Amino acid sequence: MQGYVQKIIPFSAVDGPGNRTAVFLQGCNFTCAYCHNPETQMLYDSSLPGDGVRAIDHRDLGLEVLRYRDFIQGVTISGGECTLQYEFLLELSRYLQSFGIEVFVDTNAHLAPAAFQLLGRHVDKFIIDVKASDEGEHMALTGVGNNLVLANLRYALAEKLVYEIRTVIVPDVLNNEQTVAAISRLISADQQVRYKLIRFRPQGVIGAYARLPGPTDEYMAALQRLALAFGVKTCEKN
Amino acid sequence: MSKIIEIIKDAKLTYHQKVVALARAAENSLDVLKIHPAVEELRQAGIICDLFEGHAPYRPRYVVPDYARFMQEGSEFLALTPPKTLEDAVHSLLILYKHVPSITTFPVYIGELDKLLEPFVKDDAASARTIKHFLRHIDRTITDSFCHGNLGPRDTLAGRLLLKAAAELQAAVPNLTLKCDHDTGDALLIQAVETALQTAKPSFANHAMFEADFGEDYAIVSCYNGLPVGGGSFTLVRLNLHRLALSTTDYAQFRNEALPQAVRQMLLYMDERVRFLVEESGFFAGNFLVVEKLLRLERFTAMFGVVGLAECVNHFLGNPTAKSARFGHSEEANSMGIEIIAQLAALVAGHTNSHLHFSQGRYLLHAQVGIDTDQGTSPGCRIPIGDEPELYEHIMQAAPFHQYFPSGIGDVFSFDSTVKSNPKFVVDILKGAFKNGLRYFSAYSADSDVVRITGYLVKRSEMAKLARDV
Ligand code: SF4
Repeated sequence: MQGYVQKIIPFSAVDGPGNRTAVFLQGCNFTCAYCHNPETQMLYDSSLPGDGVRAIDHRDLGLEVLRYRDFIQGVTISGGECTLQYEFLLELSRYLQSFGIEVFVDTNAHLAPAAFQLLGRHVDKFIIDVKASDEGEHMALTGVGNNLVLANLRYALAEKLVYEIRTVIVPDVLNNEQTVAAISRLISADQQVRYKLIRFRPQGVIGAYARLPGPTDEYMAALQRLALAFGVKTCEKN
Repeated sequence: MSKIIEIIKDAKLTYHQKVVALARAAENSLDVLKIHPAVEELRQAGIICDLFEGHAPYRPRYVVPDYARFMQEGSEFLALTPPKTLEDAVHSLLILYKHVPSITTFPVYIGELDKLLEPFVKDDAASARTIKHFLRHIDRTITDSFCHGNLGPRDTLAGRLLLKAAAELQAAVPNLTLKCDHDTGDALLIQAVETALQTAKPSFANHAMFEADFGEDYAIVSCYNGLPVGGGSFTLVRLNLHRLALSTTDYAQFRNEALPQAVRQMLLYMDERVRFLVEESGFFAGNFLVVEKLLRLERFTAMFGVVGLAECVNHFLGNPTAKSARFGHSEEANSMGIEIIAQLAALVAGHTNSHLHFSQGRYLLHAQVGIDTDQGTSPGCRIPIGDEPELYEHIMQAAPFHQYFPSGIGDVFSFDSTVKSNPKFVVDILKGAFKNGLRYFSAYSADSDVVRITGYLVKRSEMAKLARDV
């Protein structure tokens, strides 16, 4: 089955445990105000002029990744939002797993619960991006609500399918404390789940967010303490 | 004589450095080696270089004492009985280190430290403190970055304490290598990688590969030289492929004439150095390390060094301006590199010297890391700094060369500091590299104070201080 790939990073240290080949699929269903790669948002088809995006069969992509198998703990499929190419994602993941490769999927979890649950049976773990716990704030930031995200997150947590949850911290505009507290409360039931707080960086962002300051070290540390206070075992910040 | 008085008056040298320089000047005033004019010509042209070994070899270049035997038997010469406690063990070793010869007077090998100390350590603060003092003592008294200790492949308490102390001390000496095989657990590998990202050591040796070449009793000494324990290497002379290439008319002449001739001359020169050392110098008749069997003649070999493969290949390809056409990138350049090294290996293997007992009369190939005057000539088979491809391509390019160099070759990989929060990343890469035939792997983080310069370590803070002083 054919899919559209933005890029492949053979060795990545930041997309899950150990060394992972990170595969970035094209297309996103959010329009985050802080997006660093808005070019990945557009769903791709062969009529669009190519800017590095490749159309590729899932088996060919799988074989490309398998070259690195001696060197990696697993593969992380990311985006954009990789679940937009749902069938392709499923095929790719099953293909890689058939070679014994550990597959993580990095997603915003904004998809129908039935589809999410089926996907959950064909991946090893999810990395889930939670942009905001408040529905209105999520809507303002991404253009869509978060009820699917939170429902899928609860399911994945219950099924022990979550490796890590990620939240981008933007001071002043977002109620970061509220999101961090809500997510931390959810995670605290499972000591294995990691929480990663990602610093918003205005460099390279287009639009109103380009003029916003990034969080200070003190602010990031305070949010990390908050997460730990709620019982999160591993909370990383970058 | 003016040289002697210059050394004596040199305000920059320490007392010990003066003594060493004076001894070297005395040695070099002799003319006891029978050197063929053709060799002398190659030496003058910098194509062959004996790397400051001196004109009258009176000790092997790389001495690899059997420290395990010393711990078992003690030493009559040093009036030491076998150690019973950690204090005894550490002091016995520190005493012995001061009697291990080398061309700098400092030992290039200080033992399989974890195995030597494991019987005596306890999981307590006192052991940790003693081990830290031990390493600090070595750093402050063996002022030579080529001093090397070994760890692994098994996970031991002593090994962990040594790594922890090395991370805390942030000292350049001793260099450390962890031997790795499938039994070396991830926990130890992760601790070792964390240590390497803080202080540029340990490096990692592919145990299966070294074991296949040397048997179980081998050590990693000096930069990354694999050598038999209880013996070592009589000498190391090196061939500069870059300079040799520049002296030829074309690639055919290089392969058909220049390389075979230079290799032949260099082997004869090495034979002469070995002959003098073994037959005339008296080292193997009188030195207590030999008498007490911490060194045995039959455990010795010698090393044929090589530098500048990258520049040699690029020269014959017309020094392409496009990186993609140069050594390290183009298929053609990399195959030419293999072709040259394979020929070199065959030429060296075709020559025997009856003194090289350990290696059936053969000299072992060594990818030499270079000396400070080697501007524009890369170590061994390395890709020139700045020309290195991405990590995966880099490893796959380097690995095929490693099989040819039992007595040492290695590549250095720099990681950015984000990796520190995911050391397993480096462990995974390390395992993949070894699975694909890499012999030796060094990792460091670009932001640590102890940094790796080719094979040895220096402290960035001290370099900066030195730069200010001159
Ligand atoms: S989910 Fe990611 S790729 Fe999609 S818009 Fe948001 S930041 Fe950009």
